[in-house]
Amino acid sequence: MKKNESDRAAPGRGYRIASMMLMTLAPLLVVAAAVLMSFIIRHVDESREATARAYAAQAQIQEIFSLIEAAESGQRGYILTGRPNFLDASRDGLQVLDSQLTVLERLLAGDPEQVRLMRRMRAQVRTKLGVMERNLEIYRTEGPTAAGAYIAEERGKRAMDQLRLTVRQMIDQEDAALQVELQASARQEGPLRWVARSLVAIFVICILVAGWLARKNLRLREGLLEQLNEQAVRSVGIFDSAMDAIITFNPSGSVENLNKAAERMFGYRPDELIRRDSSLLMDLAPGEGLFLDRLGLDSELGSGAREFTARRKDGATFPAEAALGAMRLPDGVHVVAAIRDISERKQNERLKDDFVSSVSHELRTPLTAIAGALGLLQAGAAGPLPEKSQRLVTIAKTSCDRLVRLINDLLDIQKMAAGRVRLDMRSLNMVSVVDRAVEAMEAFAGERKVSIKLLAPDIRLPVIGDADRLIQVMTNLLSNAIKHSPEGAAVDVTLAVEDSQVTVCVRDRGPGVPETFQAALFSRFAQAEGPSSRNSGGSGLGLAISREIAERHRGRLRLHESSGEGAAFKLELPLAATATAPAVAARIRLLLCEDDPDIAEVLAISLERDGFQVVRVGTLAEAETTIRAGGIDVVLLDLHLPDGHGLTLARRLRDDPAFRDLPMIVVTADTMANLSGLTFADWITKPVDLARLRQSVIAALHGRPDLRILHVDDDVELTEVVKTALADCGRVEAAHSLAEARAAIERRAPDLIILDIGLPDGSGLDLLPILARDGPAPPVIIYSGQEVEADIIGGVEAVLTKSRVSFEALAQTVKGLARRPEETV
Amino acid sequence: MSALKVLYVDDDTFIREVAELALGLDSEMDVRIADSGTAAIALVSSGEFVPDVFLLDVMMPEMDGPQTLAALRRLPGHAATPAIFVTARAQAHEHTPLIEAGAQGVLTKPFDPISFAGEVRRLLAGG
Repeated sequence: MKKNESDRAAPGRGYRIASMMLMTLAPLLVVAAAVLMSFIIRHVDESREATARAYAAQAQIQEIFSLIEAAESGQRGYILTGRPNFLDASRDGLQVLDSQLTVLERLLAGDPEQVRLMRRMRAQVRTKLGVMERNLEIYRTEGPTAAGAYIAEERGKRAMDQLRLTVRQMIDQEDAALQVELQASARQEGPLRWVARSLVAIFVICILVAGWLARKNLRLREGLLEQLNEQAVRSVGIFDSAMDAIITFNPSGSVENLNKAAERMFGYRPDELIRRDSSLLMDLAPGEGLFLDRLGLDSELGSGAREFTARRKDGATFPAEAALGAMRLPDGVHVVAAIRDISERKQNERLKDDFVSSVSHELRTPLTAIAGALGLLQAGAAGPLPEKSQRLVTIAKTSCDRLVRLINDLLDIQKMAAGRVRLDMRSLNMVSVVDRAVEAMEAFAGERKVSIKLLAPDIRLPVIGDADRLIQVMTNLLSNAIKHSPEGAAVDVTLAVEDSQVTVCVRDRGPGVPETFQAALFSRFAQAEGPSSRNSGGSGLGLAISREIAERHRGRLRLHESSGEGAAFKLELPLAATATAPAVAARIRLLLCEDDPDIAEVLAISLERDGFQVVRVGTLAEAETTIRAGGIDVVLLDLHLPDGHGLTLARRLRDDPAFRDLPMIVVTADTMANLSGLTFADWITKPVDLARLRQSVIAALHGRPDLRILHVDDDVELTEVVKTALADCGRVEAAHSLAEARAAIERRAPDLIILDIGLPDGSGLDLLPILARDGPAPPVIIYSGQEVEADIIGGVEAVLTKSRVSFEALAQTVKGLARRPEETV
Repeated sequence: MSALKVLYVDDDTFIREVAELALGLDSEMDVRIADSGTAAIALVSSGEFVPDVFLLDVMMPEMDGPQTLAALRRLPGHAATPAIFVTARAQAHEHTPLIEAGAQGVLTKPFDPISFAGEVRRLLAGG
């Protein structure tokens, strides 16, 4: 399975690399080709311009020469015929000659040879025009004969010949330039063709690679689909052939799917069950809300086992056990339950319990007589005993006591190992658990002339656990430590918090645990061989039971240290979170200024569990730097710090407009400090109640004091539960009768009131007029077992029926009503 | 103050004897024993001994402890006489029905003979 996956991953990776290369290389090549082409095209353009210029220059040269020729023939015609109209054409031509020459000059400006020839041409044109002018003058002043003689001197012809030569040279020069341009453009053609071919080649390659990738992708998909299909067939096979009934539920708790074993177990056909609620089959999770929440299943941990009563189609019930698992899918968390009929197991357990119970009873009965008789003898009830007899009786009595303990421990561990000990899990303060154990062991320690020193931080260390069982563990550890301590020595008990664990370390000054014995220390009937071993009076089961108890608390018990100077055992239990749900607090940064590392650790862990970010500092200087750096939402301030008094920092911050409104909560053991006009969100004294701390942080963030809720109900249990459920909303005060409620309202009107109707001394509704007496009445929620129509009662915001509404819904209602006044502001 | 009259009922001879001796360590206790529920009822209904407290074993043949207690309570003048069960059943859940049967408390066997009388007095005092 694993191997297949990695094989499949390999072509996938090649595919990704190839497509990435294609995607980056192709555009690069296209850009390069485009740059090269634009370069060549610019070159071709330049060449075309040069050619055009050369042709234009040649035409211009011819044009100028023709103008001169035309002027010469006009002049000649005039001289031969004497008719002045011959001069008209030449005069017109000569008028534009200058501008034509300028045009030519501009065309030839780039070529120095042509510039030189141009200068010569101008000179020759001037000479030629000068000769023509002279000839016309001679004709006019001296007559045709003199003019003819002047022509015969051939000055005009020479000038004309020279000009013709220059014109020839200029045209040749342009021809040469044209030739150069032609060759240059012929040279450009090669690379252009090359670029075009390479582009075609690149495109062909790209298309081929893309095609190859697409094919590969398609095959991969086909492969995956095939595997998925195969997987599905396998899963259905496993699903239907499983011995356990397997049922999947959608997020609302309706049956989604079931296997053959489930059909057999419950006697329904699949179509009779699908989309029906789970309550049809079993009372797994009554009530409202998400199925997962009702199950109390942790969607992160994702599994849990539950025992419950299941119901067949014919109405018969049977004990069942379900292993529950959560599946996180896009539409919510689905639950899969593997259900097993445990009637037989229950039966066996009962038989075994009865057996163990009666055997232990049978053993106890004679032991009672033996222990009693020996005890009386030992105490001298039958008169004083000789010394030897006294010793023998003591041996018999001690052994008898051990036998009794052994029977007790055996009963214990048998039940513990079978997981049949129901732990009564409650929220406890580990400090008081240890206190009670120490108190219980003090007499025994006194007998052995050993003292117990307890070192605990000045704070509640909350754990979730069974108090009696934890005391049992502590008593066992203490009793071992005392037994192994030399006379006059002390047993140190240290409570601390390390890595979210409450730790209790019990250290003795005895000989330590021999290395050879350490491995077997926690196994059953483990007692070190040695001079003091068998008469220590233990059953050898104590540590095994203790470890079992620790593990049932999700904790650990281990030998922490052992040397010739003593042994230390350490019990670790998870520090309990104070709240049931994480707060709305994500992204809220708290600054915790506290110099005692243990207290800081406990407070930080607890607040982090509630979802806050905690920045820890130990001095005022650090605190001030951190606050001034910004981003702190609430400050928790101890007063007595190594570098000064917390109030000095508080005062400085209040003087600074930037921090005038920063919420600060004082956490201190000092109840006498002088507030002197400083405003704090709250003032919490040590030992710190973590739930209270959390509430006051939330209250500080909301910028309003705790919502004071009065809950009037005669059911004491219910008020306790509601108090816990509403811990997030505010401080809940309970009143168990109409009289108590009246007194509470007289003392101070609550911000909100939750009201039961049927009270021992009257109807809860009688309170309504009192509430409205001074100013506006607080919001009222009727929370009663009776069904009441909301609109029958005036002045009531909500009516909730106990059996129908979950505590979450109650909390939602309270929150909704509490917010209302703020929204209207 | 007159002595506290205690009736101890147990089917086990040895335990009966030990208990009688143990309770006898308290000079302010007047102890009588019975070996069965029937014997206890006979003794009390004869009016010869008027106990201030019943100490009852639980597992006894014919009539068990709770049945014996129910019968004793029906006798005139004993509807409210306190009772304590003494049982070898050591587990907490096994004690609950005994308390529900109307006992003041439960002591487990084996008991410490030296402190036994003191334990009885403690339970009677409601602690």
